[in-house]
Amino acid sequence: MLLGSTHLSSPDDDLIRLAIAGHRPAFDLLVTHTSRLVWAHLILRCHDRAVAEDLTQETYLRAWRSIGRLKDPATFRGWLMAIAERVRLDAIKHRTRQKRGAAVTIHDAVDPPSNDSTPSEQAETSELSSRAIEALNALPTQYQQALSLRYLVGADYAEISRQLALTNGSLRGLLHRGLEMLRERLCPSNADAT
Amino acid sequence: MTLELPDNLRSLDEQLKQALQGFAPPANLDSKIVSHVSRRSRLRLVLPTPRIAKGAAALVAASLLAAVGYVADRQMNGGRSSGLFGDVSGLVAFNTKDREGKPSAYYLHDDIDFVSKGEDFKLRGEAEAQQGSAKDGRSDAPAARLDGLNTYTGMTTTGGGTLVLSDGDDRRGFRLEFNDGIKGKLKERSGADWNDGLVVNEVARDRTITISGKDSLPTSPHFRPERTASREGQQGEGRDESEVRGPRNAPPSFTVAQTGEDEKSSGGKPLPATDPGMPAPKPEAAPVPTEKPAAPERHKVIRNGTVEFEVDSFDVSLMTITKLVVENSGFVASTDSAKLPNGKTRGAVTLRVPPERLDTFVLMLRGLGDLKSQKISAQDVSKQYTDIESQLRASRAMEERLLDMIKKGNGSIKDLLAAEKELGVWREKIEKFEGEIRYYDNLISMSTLTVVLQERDIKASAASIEVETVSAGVETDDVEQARSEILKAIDEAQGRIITSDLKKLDAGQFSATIVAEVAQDRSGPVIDRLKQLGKVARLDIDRKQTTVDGTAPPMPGARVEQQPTRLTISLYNLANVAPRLTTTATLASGDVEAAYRKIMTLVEEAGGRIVTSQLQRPQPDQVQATMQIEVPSAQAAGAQDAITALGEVISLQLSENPDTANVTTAKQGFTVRIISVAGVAARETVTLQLASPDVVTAHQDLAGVAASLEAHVVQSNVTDGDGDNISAVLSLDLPRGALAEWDKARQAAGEVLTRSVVRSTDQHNTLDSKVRINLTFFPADRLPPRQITTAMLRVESSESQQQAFLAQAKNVGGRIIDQTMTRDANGRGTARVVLDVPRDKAGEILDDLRSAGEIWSMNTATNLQAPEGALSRTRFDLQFSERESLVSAESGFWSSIKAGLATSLKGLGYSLRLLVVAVCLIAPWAVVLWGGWKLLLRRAKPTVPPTSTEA
Repeated sequence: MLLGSTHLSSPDDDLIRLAIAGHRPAFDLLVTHTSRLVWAHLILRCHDRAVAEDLTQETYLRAWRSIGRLKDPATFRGWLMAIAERVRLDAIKHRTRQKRGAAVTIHDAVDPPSNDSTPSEQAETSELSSRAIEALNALPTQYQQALSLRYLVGADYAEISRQLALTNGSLRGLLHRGLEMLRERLCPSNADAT
Repeated sequence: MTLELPDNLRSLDEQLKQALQGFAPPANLDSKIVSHVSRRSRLRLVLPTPRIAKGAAALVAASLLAAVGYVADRQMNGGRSSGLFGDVSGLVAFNTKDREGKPSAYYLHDDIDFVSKGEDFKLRGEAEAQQGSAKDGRSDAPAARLDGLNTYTGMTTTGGGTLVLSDGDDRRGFRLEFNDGIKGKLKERSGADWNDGLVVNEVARDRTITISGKDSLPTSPHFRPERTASREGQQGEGRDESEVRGPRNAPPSFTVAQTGEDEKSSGGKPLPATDPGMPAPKPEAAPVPTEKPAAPERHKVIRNGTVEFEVDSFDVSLMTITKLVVENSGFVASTDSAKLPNGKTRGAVTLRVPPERLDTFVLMLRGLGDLKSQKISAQDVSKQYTDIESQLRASRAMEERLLDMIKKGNGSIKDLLAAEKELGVWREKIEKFEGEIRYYDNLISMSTLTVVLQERDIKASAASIEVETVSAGVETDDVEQARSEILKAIDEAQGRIITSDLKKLDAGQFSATIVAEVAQDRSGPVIDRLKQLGKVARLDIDRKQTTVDGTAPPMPGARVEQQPTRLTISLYNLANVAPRLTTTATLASGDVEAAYRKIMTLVEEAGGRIVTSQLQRPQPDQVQATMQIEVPSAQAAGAQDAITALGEVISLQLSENPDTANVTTAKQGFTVRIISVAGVAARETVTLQLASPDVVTAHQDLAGVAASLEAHVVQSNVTDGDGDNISAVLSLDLPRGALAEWDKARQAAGEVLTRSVVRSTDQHNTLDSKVRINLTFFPADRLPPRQITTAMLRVESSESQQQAFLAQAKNVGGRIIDQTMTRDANGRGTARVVLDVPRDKAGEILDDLRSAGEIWSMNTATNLQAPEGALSRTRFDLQFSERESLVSAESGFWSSIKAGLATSLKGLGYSLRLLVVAVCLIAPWAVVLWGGWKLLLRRAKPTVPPTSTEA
């Protein structure tokens, strides 16, 4: 992380403007600033790392080809997420055509997290991960993004701040409230008790 | 930085982390994205063409990409390394031998995309390697880190570029430097430096790369990059990339000529191309004869730069820069910073970074803050460097020759001494040249980047000064006492007296000024003391915050430094202060001097002050006084009433001075101007024409009345023209109050013929308390008659009647205007008399008139222009005629005889006159006619008798 330790007042605006002007290095830096966000969005919906990786690459390819039409740098992230969603839907359509109407769930199985645990632990973890993915999908977008970056991407605080372009305080609030909502969905009994 | 969570959430947090860790993105996700975008973006240029052209264009593009790609091979051979390192369309490979001499190959995935010539900048993420056998060039091992070399950076400039594969800490790695795209040098990191490495001489059109270096290298191996096994493995796992990514453009293959032993160890034959669209080049067509290692091309370029940023914090930025520069194999050469008076820091950091990383590094610095300016320069010192090297070689050659001469000992001692001396000179030169080369090497090997940092709002003032100024004016009776009290109060407040003065003015008043400085928290008691000493007429307290230099507004929350309060206190008597209210009055007084004295007394009684006073008497009746006085406000109303009661107020004006520092409301000013009533015109003027039987008496009477009424007589004169025509004029200013009494006297004096009253509209310069009266006296008998009676009477004796009426007129007080008496030839007398008699006596005249004789005619007319009154008169114009006789004297007897005789004589004389005329006029013509007749008769007498026929 080249600039991870540097405090940036508006870190991406200059890069976005440069990228709009066709400056590739700036776009590459933007990739490092936002790739986790796109990845989190796609992995949350695809559940498959390989597919998510391909879709992420395709998302940025489309973004690079059309970034010249981006008017407002401030809307870059939303615009990028819209492209990611469109890429995902296009992939589903493409696969649907290929399989002539077969079921469209890309992958339901969740990769086993670790080989070190016992089968029962694996099953328990797998169930929890499935429920967590479900619960994350049901959260409002802002909480979903922050929590996805934390748990699906494993990003640290600074990384989440940079990916979402949020201040420290906002991010703390988002994570805290999002985790509360997630707990209500995952452990309703505990939530009621508290 | 961690998220502090309650226990219940913390456990959930941990569970979620464990459960979802399998979804983490790959470590090289960014590099894969960048590679994907880069490759697909380039391919897109040729894809839109038609199918045939697309294939041809793809071939051309692939060839171009191969031509600008770089291949390197690296062999690890007992600590010495050689090999190839290259990249074509995103595929980089190494052929190496491990320390045991076992050949192996490392294929970098195509997520690494190297640069093409002419591109400005490329930055790569981590690289994965696939380890395999160098024998066949295929990967036979799972993907792994390339021996810890996981950071891949690259950079090109217009003249060349750099490709670096290294570990994260830049402790180990390879570095390919090339100058023009096809020639370069492969270096290996050795500690902090790079060794001289291998020279990549050329990439031939047949994709053969020739390498040379200081050490004689084995000939280059044939090398052909392929798709890696891992990709094939991914495809084999059922992951259909084409569904998601679309078809990949296969990298073009190329061949590196290899000769010698290494050919066997690296496989010995070209690897088959995996891309069916790209036929594998034949190995026999590729080899290139081994070339002698050529001298490396030396482009010595010194790259320096200066960037300027505006940052939030200088210290934080300096730490960031230090960290970044270490990460980029550089160091901080010097730091120069200064803390400005406003607390902001400005400074410059001089960095030394490898030149190939300069551009990358500058981009990294963009995160520091706002970039204000950037300047990167390059200076090509190749010529100077080569010249120095040549001179160094020549110097060393000379040194060797001199050493040989000394060693051999040929020649005389003198020659040897000269040679030793010359040797010293040349060694000095050698050291100088070596020093210059080291100097250039230092500059070339590390670029100097000066980073100028200045904190935001560098011009804002960090501290502000609070200044309080108090300006007070105190009216006091005893200035000296008040001054000493204030000085004492300032002293008690531990203040500092800057200036203090006391002045005694000409009029005996005092004024004092004190300028002092007192601490702000102690200025309050001093101000309170002022209020006890007198009337604080003016108190201005001004407190403001300013910056030190006053150029920029103080920053919010800036430190405030309280300056002492500056007190400017003025003490003065009331006499020195102008009153706030001033009444300006103009009075008309009959006795100006008395009014003047009364005002003097009034001011004295009221405790006021006479500022100026003036009394003028240019003429006895034009007295004028001007006074400027000041009266305490409490007595001002009474004083004003008293002053206005002294005369008639012509004008009264109250003016208020602006509320400035030099006015007071403790007193009120009066500016009084008193003028004599006689000097002011009356507002009302009455003009009268008075008819009086006795002008002189009437004039005297009215003049006496005017004097008794205290009127001011302006004009008075009596004109006696011819005794009968007496006139008089009396002009006076009469008090309006005496007007009734005056009118009474005037009515007794005579009868008003005409009256006009004019009232002026000028109310400022006239008085209404008096009336100007202009009287013109006329004798009553000069008045025109009101009634005119004209009568003709036949009387026996006109003369006696005339005398009788004249006597009657005198009896009734009339006046004889005219009288005439004529008598004709017959003795008949006619008399005319014109009389003016009083109207009341006119009846008597009329009675006499009726008894005087036969009235032939009488006509009475009234003159409306003449006034009707006691003095009006009636005019009588009387004509008396006597009666005539029966026959006039001319018609008597003798008169008739005389008239007859006279007429007869006149007839006789007339007939005689006719006879004379007849004789004189007719007789000649009668003679002529008779003679003619006779003559005619004579000629007409016939000579022949008449004939019988005719008879």
